[in-house]
Amino acid sequence: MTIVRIFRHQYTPKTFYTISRFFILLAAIFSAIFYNRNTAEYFYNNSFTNLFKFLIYILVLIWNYLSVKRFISKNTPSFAFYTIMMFNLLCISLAISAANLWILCFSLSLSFLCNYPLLLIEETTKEKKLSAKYFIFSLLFIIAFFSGVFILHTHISNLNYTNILQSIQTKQISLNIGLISASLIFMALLFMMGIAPFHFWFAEVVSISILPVAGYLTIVPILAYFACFINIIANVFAPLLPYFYKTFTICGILSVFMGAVGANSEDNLRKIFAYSGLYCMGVILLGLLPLNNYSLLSSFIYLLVYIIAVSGIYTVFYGYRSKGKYLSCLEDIKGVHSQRPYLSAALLLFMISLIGIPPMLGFLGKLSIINNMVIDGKFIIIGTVLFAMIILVYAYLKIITAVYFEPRNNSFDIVDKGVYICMIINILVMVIIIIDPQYLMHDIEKTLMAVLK
Amino acid sequence: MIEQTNIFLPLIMSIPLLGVLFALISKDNAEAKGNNILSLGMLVTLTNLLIIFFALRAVAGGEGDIQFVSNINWLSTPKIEFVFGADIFSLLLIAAVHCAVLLGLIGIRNNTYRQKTLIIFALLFLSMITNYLLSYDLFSFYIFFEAMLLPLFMLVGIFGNIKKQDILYRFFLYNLLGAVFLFIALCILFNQQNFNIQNIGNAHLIPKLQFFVWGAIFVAFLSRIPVWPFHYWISSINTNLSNPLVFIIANLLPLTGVYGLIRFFPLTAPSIMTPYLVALEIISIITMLVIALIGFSNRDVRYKLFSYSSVYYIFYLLGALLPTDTLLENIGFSLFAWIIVVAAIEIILSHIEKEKQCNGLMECGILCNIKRSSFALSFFILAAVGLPLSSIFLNNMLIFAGLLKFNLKMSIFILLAIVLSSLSLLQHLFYLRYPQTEPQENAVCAQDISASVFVFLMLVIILLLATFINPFWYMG
Amino acid sequence: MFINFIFLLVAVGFLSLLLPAKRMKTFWSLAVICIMGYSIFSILSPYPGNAISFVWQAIPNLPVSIELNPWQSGVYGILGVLILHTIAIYYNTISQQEQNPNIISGLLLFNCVFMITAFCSINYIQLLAAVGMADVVVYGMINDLNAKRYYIYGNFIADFVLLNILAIILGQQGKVDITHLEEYTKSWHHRDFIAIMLLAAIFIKSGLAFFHVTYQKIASLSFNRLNFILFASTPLIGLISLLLLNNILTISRYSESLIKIFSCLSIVWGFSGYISSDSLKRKASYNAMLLWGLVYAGYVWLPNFPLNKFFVLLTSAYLFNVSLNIISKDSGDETYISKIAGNICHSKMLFLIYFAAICLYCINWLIFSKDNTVLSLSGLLLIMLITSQTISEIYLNQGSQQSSISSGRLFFISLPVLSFLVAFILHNDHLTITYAYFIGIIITWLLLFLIFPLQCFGKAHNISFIQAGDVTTAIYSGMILHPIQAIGRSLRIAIDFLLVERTIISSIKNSILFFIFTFKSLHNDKIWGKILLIIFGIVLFAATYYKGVAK
Repeated sequence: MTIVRIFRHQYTPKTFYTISRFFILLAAIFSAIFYNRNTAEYFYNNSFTNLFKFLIYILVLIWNYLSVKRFISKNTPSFAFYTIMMFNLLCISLAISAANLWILCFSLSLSFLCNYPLLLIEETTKEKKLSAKYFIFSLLFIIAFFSGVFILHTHISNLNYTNILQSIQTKQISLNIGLISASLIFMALLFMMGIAPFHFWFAEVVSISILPVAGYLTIVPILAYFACFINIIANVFAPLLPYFYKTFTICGILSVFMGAVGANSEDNLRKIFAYSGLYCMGVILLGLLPLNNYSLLSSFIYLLVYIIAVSGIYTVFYGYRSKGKYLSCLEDIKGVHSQRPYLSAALLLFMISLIGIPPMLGFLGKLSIINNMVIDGKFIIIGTVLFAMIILVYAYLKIITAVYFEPRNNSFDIVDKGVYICMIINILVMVIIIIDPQYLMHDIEKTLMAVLK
Repeated sequence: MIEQTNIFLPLIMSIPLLGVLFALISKDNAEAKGNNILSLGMLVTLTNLLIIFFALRAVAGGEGDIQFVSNINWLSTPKIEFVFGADIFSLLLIAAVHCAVLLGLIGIRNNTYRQKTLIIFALLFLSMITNYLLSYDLFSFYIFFEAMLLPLFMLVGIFGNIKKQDILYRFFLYNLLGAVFLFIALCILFNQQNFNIQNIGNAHLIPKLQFFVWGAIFVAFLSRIPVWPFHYWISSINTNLSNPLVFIIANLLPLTGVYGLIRFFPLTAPSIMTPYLVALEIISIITMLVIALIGFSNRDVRYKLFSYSSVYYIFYLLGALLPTDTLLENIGFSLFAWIIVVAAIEIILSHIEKEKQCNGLMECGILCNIKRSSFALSFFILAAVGLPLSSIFLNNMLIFAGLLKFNLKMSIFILLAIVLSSLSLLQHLFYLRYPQTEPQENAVCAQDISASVFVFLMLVIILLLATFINPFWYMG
Repeated sequence: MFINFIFLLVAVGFLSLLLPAKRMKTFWSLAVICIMGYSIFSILSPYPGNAISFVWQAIPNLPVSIELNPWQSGVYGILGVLILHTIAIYYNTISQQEQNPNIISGLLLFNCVFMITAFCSINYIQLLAAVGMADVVVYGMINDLNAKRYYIYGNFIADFVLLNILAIILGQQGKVDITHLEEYTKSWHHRDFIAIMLLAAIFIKSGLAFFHVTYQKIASLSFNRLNFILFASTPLIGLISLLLLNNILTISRYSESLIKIFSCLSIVWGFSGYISSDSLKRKASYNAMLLWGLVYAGYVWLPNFPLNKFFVLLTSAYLFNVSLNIISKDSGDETYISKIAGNICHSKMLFLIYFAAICLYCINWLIFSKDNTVLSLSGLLLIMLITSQTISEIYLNQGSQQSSISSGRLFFISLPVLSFLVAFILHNDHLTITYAYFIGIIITWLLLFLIFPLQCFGKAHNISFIQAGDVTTAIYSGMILHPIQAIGRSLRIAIDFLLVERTIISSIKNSILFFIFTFKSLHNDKIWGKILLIIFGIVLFAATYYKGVAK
């Protein structure tokens, strides 16, 4: 893309989109071809990694398609966005396939730091200050990540996952060291995933960034971080996991609660859904432990359902535009249904899915994870999660009220057909999965179990 | 359980949904003035009523078994199979709901404000509640129990004229809370086995868990019925609902709670719940009495109607909680007529309300010049209070007999509440018919209901009388 | 033949309701009278045919039989009902006050069928259905809104109470047959409660003291409707219910006392109301109250309740009220004694008709109550006093204005009275026993007519409180209605508003607002909140580390 930028005199926002699309497809093809190829001890591929990579590529493809509409409509350059995003994608792919802790550390850190330039795209001065704060905090946690990895490195030279796991199991690495490094690494990962108490950056970041960036940050990286987190827990720090149960539980409960309360405290749509995401991540974390077949499957389903729903919601955000400006406040979208009934209906469907009301897809996710918790006997956690859900629903009701029940105070721009196409595809995917969830519930299980060697 | 190959159930379940889809794609421009979509809504409801009629005829009566069983395998791991089935009781309730919605559609025929949205959500609600009443396994029961909340919320929010949004949110959240409880109970029971509702008592649970599960089921269904403290959400909503269709639909929601309890209790409930059943009964009776007293003293006709319907819902609930299932059919037959009567009363009252607002008339004595409305309203109110004009009369007697046999003292309070709520309806009838002052010569009169609506109401009256003379009028 | 006329009555009743108001009024009414005549003939026929019996699946799990078997219940009762209804239809025919006599005829025919059904009841369901349907018919007949309201309030409560008493018995016994009541009385479940409730329902239906407000309010109706309702509908059905369910009363020691108290009160109230009322219609109502009081007194004080004689008495009382109607018609449809007396000159024929009606009334009372001398004589005295008072007021103060109706028309109006008199003379086999009484009655009555001992009560005609005041309604309002309304309002404020809204909901709302406030404080633009969260996270992991190490 840089070459094109430098050497080609005429380019449009679509140019870089086309290039990115080509390379993503290429990456997907290569992932398929080399689906089980390992590269020495540094990278590995199996069904687990391929699953996440494919999902990420598909999501990025769709999101790129929508994002280009935004750049075209505003006639702003898209080079920065697509370039950084591609680089981010590269880092994410490396991180998912990483078999070495250093590789993971570098790739995740780079991908996370990439978010900073993404934030700077078309930002105002005030927003730049906020982004700078984000950069500093990111650096802090990346340093923590590196520190954790470094501590391990001082005790074992080869930071291959298998090697670390063996070292911990055979007590080659003492418990102290193991716990310290694991704590530092987990803190960093929790920060990257935006889980409480390290969640504070995410809502702000999505609210100040442009829509393509906000959507990308909401939809795509989380899959990668989730995959890496699972990998780390299952293949590196598995013997130490019992020590962190309570910590993760507390983090999960905090996330769930803060997500619910936070969503109610905001009027900005992106922040509301950011906190909703925090709630979802908290639920995922709570459902993930102890790491076994069922918990992994249920958490994955919940995550996937969340991603599908929130991608649909961000698609709808592309349709909420007035006088060229993309709307993000509740006040601005009052009465939008009267001009954009189908978009509003889609938003309603996606929000129902997020709440988990049947027969939408979210019910499947809620069912999996709660059922799993019931099997484990975690009734208090179930109570907390569902109680927080009711608080969260209050925030969604405010959105529904604004969209449907309030009189319109804005006129809305014409919506690009691409938005409708993406929206329909999203709904179709949801409907197909809900009618026949066999693939999701059954076939994917085998794929996921590859990570639990 | 009798398994038969059938087309009835799939048709009954899918027709309202098809109606929603057609409504979504239908065009309603200014010229049509909402007639297209209204006709579609009525056609869907009438078609389904016809199919329900044939289904009732086909049901082998008197055995109490679920029939027309349909299984849909949804998941193999974990094994989730949706089972749907019908018996006379559920079919009667579905028919009553359809009649009530049809009456509601007639009530909104001149209302062109967002009619497409109204009918889409109304049909969606109809579809959900129909499927709920046909559900026979835990999962499908829960799915439709929760799914019907959203269309109702949208209807109340858009057309309810609710000024305080808090009331609207509270309404949704109360019901969602109940659904959440049911969900937890469902998950616990499901891990035993995906039970059919009739076999749910076979679940082997430790006592603590048993108590929790059944308690959760209790609370879930109670949240739909206006038993204290859940009565507040529906009373706050009802007093503001001026759209007749939305009012009718909002008043159908407690039916789902009563139906749920009828299906789950009391024969399947473990003995651990017995003391709590007694507590529930006491709270229910106190709620009945309180609501009846408030309705009696309140001038607002919507509150009176709400108080009347709440008292009767709790009455049916108490009848269902008796330790016998012989009254099930009686409750079904009584509910069938009762739902239709309440819907008809609401239609006429909303017409009066509209006339009152359009012509700036006083409510007192408004009926004295509109004979058709006066006659119809008098009939329906007399039927509502229990005079022998519908199947409410004698079937309620059997339910009373059961209650009085069970506990005379408690039943006296129940009867007192019913008398008060009925008297408050009668009170309002005469308030509408009896002008305080002599009408002036050139005074503006309210317009009567149209002849076609009157003919339809007469057909409803004939249906109700038929149910009184022979509750099995639909059978061959 | 019995089956024939029942179905005929129903069919003709339907047709009457559907006929247009202004079409074939007189012809149709005469046709209906002929049908009633045929019915009377059928019931008296030596070959009356079979009874009607069919299974009515009115309730899914309790099939009941509907049986109309006059020979089991007593032919005279049905005959009495038919005669009363024939008289009512006759007056509906000749009355020019009704705008739609076809509808009234139809309602009367339906009421007749329901009365017969109630009378022939063999089970509770049949009785309740008949009672309820009769209420609906009478409700339709009342064309005054205020009266309708009182009627439906009172009778709804009465029907509801009756329904629930029978529900209690049904629940205990599991059977609906009235013949099994005796079994129930032996087991004595809730004896006092059921007996008292049954009596309350019957007293409301019959309009005894404190429950008579309805029948005072219907005094605004036309005379024909008024008389019909007072004698041939709801009060009668109350008595029929009592006779069918009398086994219930035996289980409570309070039953007899209550009937005695209320019957005496009704007699006193009816008597005093009659003599102080200015309106002829109100007098008719009070007369009915007095009569029903006497009948219930007879029920409790007479060794056996003579049903056939009761119907003859009832017809006589009905015809006495008809004579009041005749007086009103003769006075140009004037209903106030104060406006009739001293203004209108009435004919001797009218006097004779009135006198005939009185004689029938008095003699039939004697025949009915002859087994208890005290009751018989005291009742007779009261009847004579009230009947003489009315005629004394009119005839001892004749005016100059001529009466409104001609002799011919007077004859037609009084035809039922005269017919009944003739029929009574021809068919009464007790007449020979009561000859001495008959002479005594005439003499006593004439003396009372001439002396006019209750003349002073004429002053009450000018006191509006007595004429229009309604003490009972005021008592009900003050002691029942307003307190209930006050309780309702207080509960709404206390429970809905204070407890639920202000306490429970406010607490939850304030808690959530507190959490939101705390959250916002932590997540504002300031850096300290973020640092606090990071520190918290670090502490969490530090705790994990120390706990892990300590293990």
